[in-house]
Amino acid sequence: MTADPNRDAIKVLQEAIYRDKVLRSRAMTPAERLEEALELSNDIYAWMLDGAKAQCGLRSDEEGWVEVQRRLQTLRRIHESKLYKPVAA
Amino acid sequence: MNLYQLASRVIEALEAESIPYMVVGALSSSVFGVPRATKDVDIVLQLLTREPLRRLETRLAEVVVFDPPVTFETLTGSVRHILTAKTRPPFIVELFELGSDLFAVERFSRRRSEWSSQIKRQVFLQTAEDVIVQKLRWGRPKDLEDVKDVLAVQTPAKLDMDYITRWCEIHQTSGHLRSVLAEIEPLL
Repeated sequence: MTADPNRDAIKVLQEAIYRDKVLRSRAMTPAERLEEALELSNDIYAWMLDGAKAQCGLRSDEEGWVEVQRRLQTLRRIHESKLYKPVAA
Repeated sequence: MNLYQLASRVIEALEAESIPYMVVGALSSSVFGVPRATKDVDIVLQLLTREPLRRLETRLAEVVVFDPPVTFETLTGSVRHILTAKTRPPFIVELFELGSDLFAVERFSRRRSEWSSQIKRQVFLQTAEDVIVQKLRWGRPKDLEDVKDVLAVQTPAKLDMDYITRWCEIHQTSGHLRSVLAEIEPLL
């Protein structure tokens, strides 16, 4: 089996990207990092809506949000299957 | 309604009901590590009874729905309530009742506040050390990535490593901690 000749180069690139992310974060205040996390979270929902609408051929945002919610609920069930249990009534 | 408007409404309601709280999860790890997106806001509440929670539900009725069923976290026994925004996007807020788990109690007692210009108030958060200990305890891949980010950004020299080490020994997560520290060594 031949080793991937690009593997080392990719690893160096990954480490350089990660170093940049860390150095950038170190230069930010805690409040700035909190604000960026909130902005990124807003953005990610917008991208999920666009993705759901495009993949399912949906025209309205409301239909798209229903699909986004369905996907998130599926992910939640998968990720949390052993971590959470219903509280007995 | 965007995520910080929703977070602001929930925190405002918690303050109005005099419910001590602390933001945990990805938002708190972003404060101390590398900012990243999250699909929900996780908040731990200190409740003596469930009555304030019922008043909170009434107070937030216009903006969120409390989803059944109520669940508990198998690791710590903490009871969780899921709130889904009635507005779009359908953001999620997860409220965790502070239980009797020893680490959870100490973590809550160490909470600190940070000003947020978007949420427009002081926000109580868990400390960087507690993000690390709790996420090592969960031990999922994304949790370990968050631990790596917090350790890399804060650096062990600026963290209370004795506190972290003590809890990791109790939780038997010292191996995970050593692995993450080895990964970030070139950045220190």
